[in-house]
Amino acid sequence: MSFFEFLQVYQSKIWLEFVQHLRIITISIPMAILISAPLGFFISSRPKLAKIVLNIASILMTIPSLALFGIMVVVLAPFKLGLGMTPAVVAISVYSILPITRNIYTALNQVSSSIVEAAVGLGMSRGQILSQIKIPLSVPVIMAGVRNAVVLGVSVATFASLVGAGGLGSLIFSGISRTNLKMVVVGALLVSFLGIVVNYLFLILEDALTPAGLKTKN
Amino acid sequence: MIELKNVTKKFDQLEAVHNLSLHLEKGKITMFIGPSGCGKTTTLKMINRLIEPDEGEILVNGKSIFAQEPVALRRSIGYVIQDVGLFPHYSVFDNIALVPRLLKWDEKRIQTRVDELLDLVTLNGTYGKKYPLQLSGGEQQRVGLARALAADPDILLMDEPFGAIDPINRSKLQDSFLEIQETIQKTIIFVTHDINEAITLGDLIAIMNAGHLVQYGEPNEILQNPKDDFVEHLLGADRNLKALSLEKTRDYLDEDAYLTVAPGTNPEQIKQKLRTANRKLALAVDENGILQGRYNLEPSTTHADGEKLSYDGQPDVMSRNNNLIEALSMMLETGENLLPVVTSKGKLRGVIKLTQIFAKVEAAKAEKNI
Repeated sequence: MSFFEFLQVYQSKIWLEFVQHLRIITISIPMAILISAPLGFFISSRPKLAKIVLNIASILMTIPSLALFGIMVVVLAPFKLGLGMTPAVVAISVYSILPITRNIYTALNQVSSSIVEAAVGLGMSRGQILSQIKIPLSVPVIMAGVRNAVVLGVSVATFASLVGAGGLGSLIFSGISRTNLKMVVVGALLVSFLGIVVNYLFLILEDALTPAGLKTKN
Repeated sequence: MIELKNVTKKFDQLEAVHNLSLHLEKGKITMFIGPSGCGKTTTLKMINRLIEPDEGEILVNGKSIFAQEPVALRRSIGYVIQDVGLFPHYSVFDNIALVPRLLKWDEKRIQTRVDELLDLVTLNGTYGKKYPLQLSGGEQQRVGLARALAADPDILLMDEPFGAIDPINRSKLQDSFLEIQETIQKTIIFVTHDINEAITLGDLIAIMNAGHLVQYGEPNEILQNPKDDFVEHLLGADRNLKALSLEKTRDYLDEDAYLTVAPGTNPEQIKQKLRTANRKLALAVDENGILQGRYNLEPSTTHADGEKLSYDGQPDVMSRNNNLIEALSMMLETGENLLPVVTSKGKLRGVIKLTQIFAKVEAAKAEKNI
């Protein structure tokens, strides 16, 4: 059958897996942020601890994503959560911790020391400095970290189908096992498309959240 | 106004400030100067408790600064640093409004105050909406100064505020700063490593070395009577010249050394008048007293009577606020030993003579030997 006919026949399945892929991301990333944000803040003023934490997160990231999924299956099996959304979401969250935490740490620390010194000298409290100075100035870098994590997540979520969570990966892997090129191509194109769109949307968000003063350079 | 008593600060084993006692006067600019590591910045930062002393007491208007919360204390003291530290995500207006907003002033009062301050630091109204990244270094520092003055503190702490500015603009900023101080009359503690800046701006200078106060007094006093070799070295071999920089031409005007003539007077007539009065300089002045030109009577081998009258329609002049060094410099450049001194509108007030500058140096030397 032609490509177009293929799309017509499989359209509900394609749509289903696309939505599922989105669902996996929209659960994993916020979870990752919930862990990484406090972690990032906590280590931002503790350089020795930061080194340890960031090293651990780096190591977690070097584990091939497929292996990480596998590990989750085994680790969560005793809790009867070894298959389905749970291992997928946990694995993707773990993967996303490094980019987000590291970016928060870097962002808060790259606020120029003279700005902080002036803020302290003029009589701002620690809390005021954090909320009025450090965080607003960190937003661009933090958003870049989140964006990074999301795009990465879209890509890694392709393996989610292997642990029974569905997603666009199922099109790719089914297509491979059935030698159905069209299916593989649709799956792959949709993952890429999703990655590109999500990146673009987050760029717009990043731009919208960046304070005006940081964008003007004459 | 600010009293430091036996203040000591150690960093690990290093004593950055050793048993420092100093009384800083109200309404005056006190310069802290000394080589790197002498403790001048550390001392400054102890006044607003950015650094806490290990020993000693610091009193502002009789009250210990340790009786107050540091944050509250700092809101009552202005602070200006070398890199300025303007908040790039705040407009100029919001930067200046910072402390008033922390103190919960109402917005109308803040608006008035910011406009006042922008005027004071000579940044016209439209600057309020600009962002720091759009400003030059000099403009940023003016905003920094306005920000420090926003809540009208009595005390202003300045840590090498003009250090990052290029020499031309630094000079302009220094002049502006002195004018601003004439209006605001704050108690200012100013750290610098530039002895010329200390002499130009300071009402009082505190010289520090290795955590100790070496000499403290008025610039003139220190220039005439340096306490030891260290101070002499700091002042520089040209300290006599530096002393001249404190003298303004307006205090050394001579009104006898020249004749005034109307513009367009016949040169032969001018020559005659000069010969009769035994003078070499005639200045053309219009009916409003404004200087129009300069006639010099000079020896000449080409003229029959041995003298010629040269005319300069755009004579080099000094203003009354120029100092004697500037006058000397201009004399060297022009080759004239008499320079007319005029007001900002160009009205002639008198002349400054090279011989007078020499006399001043001689007098200063004589004073020392008393």
